Amino acid sequence: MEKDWCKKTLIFFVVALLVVASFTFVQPVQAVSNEPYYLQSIASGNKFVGARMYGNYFANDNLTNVDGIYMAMGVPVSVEIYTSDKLPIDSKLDFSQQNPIIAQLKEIFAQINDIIVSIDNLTNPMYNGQNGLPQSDVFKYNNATTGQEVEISSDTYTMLQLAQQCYLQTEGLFNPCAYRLVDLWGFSSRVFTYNLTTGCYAQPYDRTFVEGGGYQLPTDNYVQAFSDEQFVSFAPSSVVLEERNNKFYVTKNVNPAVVEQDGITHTYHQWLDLGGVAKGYVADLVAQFLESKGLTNYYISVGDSSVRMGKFLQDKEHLIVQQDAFNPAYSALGYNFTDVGLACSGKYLRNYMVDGVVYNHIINPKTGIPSNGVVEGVLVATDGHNYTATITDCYATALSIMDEQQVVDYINSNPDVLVSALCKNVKGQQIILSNLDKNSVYTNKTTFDSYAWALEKSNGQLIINENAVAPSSRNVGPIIAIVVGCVVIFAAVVIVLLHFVKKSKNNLVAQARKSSPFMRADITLYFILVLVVVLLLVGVMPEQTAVVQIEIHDMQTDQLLFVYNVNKDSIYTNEQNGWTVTTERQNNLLTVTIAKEIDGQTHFNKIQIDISNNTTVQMVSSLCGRHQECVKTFHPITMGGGTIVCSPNNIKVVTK
Amino acid sequence: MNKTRLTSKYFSAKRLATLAVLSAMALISFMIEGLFPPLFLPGAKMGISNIFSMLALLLLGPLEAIVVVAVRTVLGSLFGGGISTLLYSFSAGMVAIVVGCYLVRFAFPKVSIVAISVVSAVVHNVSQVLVFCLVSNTPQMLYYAPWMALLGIVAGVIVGFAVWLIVKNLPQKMLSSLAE
Repeated sequence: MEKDWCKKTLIFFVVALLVVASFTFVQPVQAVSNEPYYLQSIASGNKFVGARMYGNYFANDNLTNVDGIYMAMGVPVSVEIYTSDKLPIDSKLDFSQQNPIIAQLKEIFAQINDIIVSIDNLTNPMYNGQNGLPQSDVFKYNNATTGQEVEISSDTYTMLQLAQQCYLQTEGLFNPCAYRLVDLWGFSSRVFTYNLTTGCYAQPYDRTFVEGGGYQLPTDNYVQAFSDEQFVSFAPSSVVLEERNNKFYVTKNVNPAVVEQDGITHTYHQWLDLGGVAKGYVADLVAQFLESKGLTNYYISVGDSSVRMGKFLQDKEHLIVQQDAFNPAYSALGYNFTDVGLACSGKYLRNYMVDGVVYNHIINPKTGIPSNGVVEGVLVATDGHNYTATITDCYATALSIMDEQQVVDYINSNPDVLVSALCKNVKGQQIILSNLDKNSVYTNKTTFDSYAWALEKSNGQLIINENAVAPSSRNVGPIIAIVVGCVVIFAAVVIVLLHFVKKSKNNLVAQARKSSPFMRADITLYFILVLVVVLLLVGVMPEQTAVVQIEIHDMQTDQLLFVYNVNKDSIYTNEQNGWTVTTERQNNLLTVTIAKEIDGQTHFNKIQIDISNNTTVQMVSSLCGRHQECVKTFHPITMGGGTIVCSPNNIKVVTK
Repeated sequence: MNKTRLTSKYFSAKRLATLAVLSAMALISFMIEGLFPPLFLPGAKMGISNIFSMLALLLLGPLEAIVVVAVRTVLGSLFGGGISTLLYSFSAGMVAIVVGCYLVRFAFPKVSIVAISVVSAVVHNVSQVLVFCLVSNTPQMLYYAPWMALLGIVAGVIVGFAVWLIVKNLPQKMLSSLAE
């Protein structure tokens, strides 16, 4: 169990790195002494364009102080601030130096740190007020008895209010009061801090972890008791929120669950957990704080799953990458967002397997068992709200439990919420249910093509197209089709020609010897040819558009190796399958080197992108073992729709 | 089976030897040409080897011409290029020679050898670009199609004149008994 958790965290971390690396290059870390976070410079190309704060939160060190207790892993938080008029950053930041910009940044990051810590102190259900830990509002609520009123802070009150709105909106699919169920199934932070030897934090329903052999499943009586409609209710009548004289209260109006086990009757009070809300709420608070300072170019990521962003560099959009739910080491698609709150969720992120069945961490509060909805991974984004990251966090959880039709209904009734849900439907097909603009989606062909884009517009509503097919299952390989086509045509031609052979012209050679190199009838042929050339010229001439995006593909696998977006000035590289991609920036010249080991020799192609006024792409050198056609015969690309191909190295550069 | 093809004349040693020599020369010139860098455009070549397939077409017949092209592209790609080169040079070569066959069968001698050569060269270049676009999923490559067609006209004229000169000046003795 613990091993599994570590693995998942590792994957999480790798993905976080991928996401970040997809649009910035991060400079080496510079630690600020005595602080729980690190500060770094952010570079784009060879320019320094911002500052980044990185830290691990939501796991107080004191939690790990009790001897032998499993360490809670915490949640990585990163805040990026990009250069703007308010806060110009144009050189490498040395945080040990004193200057006004650095002082200002340090002050901002220190306050952000305070915000994160204060929310953690309010919401962490493990903070019991002992061992140097603060006592959280959530802990107080969880330990309250039926009818008891608990005073809470205004932040907790706001979070509960937002959560309650989402609870009502999703008809109970998002439910923070399902925490007993989450705990029962072994996905709560208590389970990770529970100590076997001392019994610290133990609950009667705890089962033993079997190293490598999975986990015993909870018994039915517990599942039933904890998913009881009354016990799990988060309705305003059950969890009563009240504000009196600027003080905030919550009342637990829920009867306890009674479970008999081994002849002993246990009484369990309702628990709630704001883990699904607090991450988004932290991102929202930090965003509000930055906006209040007049900073609008930022990116806040809490635990990689809750994101709140302002604008990117030079007020451009952020490119956000969604992981492939079935192949989490790879991305499936990317999309440009700006000024939104965004959340990701996925059943693949945390789960365990017992007897060949996978049990994931998203528990359906209605059935009491891990979600068996079709949604494997989901990305939700919305804007125009003070707490966008908080509510998208809630929606992402709710969407993970829905079935196909529920997702579509949700998308149709919330047109201002952008959803991209990667699903496996009942037929076992991988489909994408999304209201993103398909033409603006960046795709990683190798993974994206395994999905069918299942939604289409009909009378202003999105409906499921049952006939949608994933591109990868559609193209059985154009090469095979062409080869078969060639053979068939060849065979047909041979048959026809065999027919001719019977009555071939006997005097052909004699005629040829007599013939002149020019006949009158030639004019017709030449005229037709010229017409064909002119038609081709007119037909294939690309529109004269400026280059907006430069992509480099592996021709054999269609793997996307490199993307440069001119407007965003962003770079994406992908080094899977033995490719190495290096980029170097000198003022307006971006040099990309794509290399691969072929037959014991490192073949490479060097592409130079000139990003001054008119973007020009040119192959400047290569090693392919042949004639360097890509360098010598391909013309530099100056507009969209151009290409440079290197057949020996299987590389193609295309522009959009 | 038809009688003509089984007569000893059709499989005479002279015909076979001529076919073998033409195939070998086509293959060798194809590979020698491959040693030189392309002219002006990606993948552009003079197509010297087409002289020999055209000669086979005129002196021996359409089937033999197809054999020469098949030998040249399959062996040439195996020796010099790769499987992907085979795909587009084979398909384009086939299309071009088939067009040539039809022109010789139906239009010759109303149109000249040079014109036939030019048409096949253009068809060859355009179909090569098309196949490349399809195989490598690069529609952007179509941009080069008209320029390749123009280059085909130039190369076709040169090859056509070469064929014409050779056919005209070969000693009658060599050509006697070649026709079935």
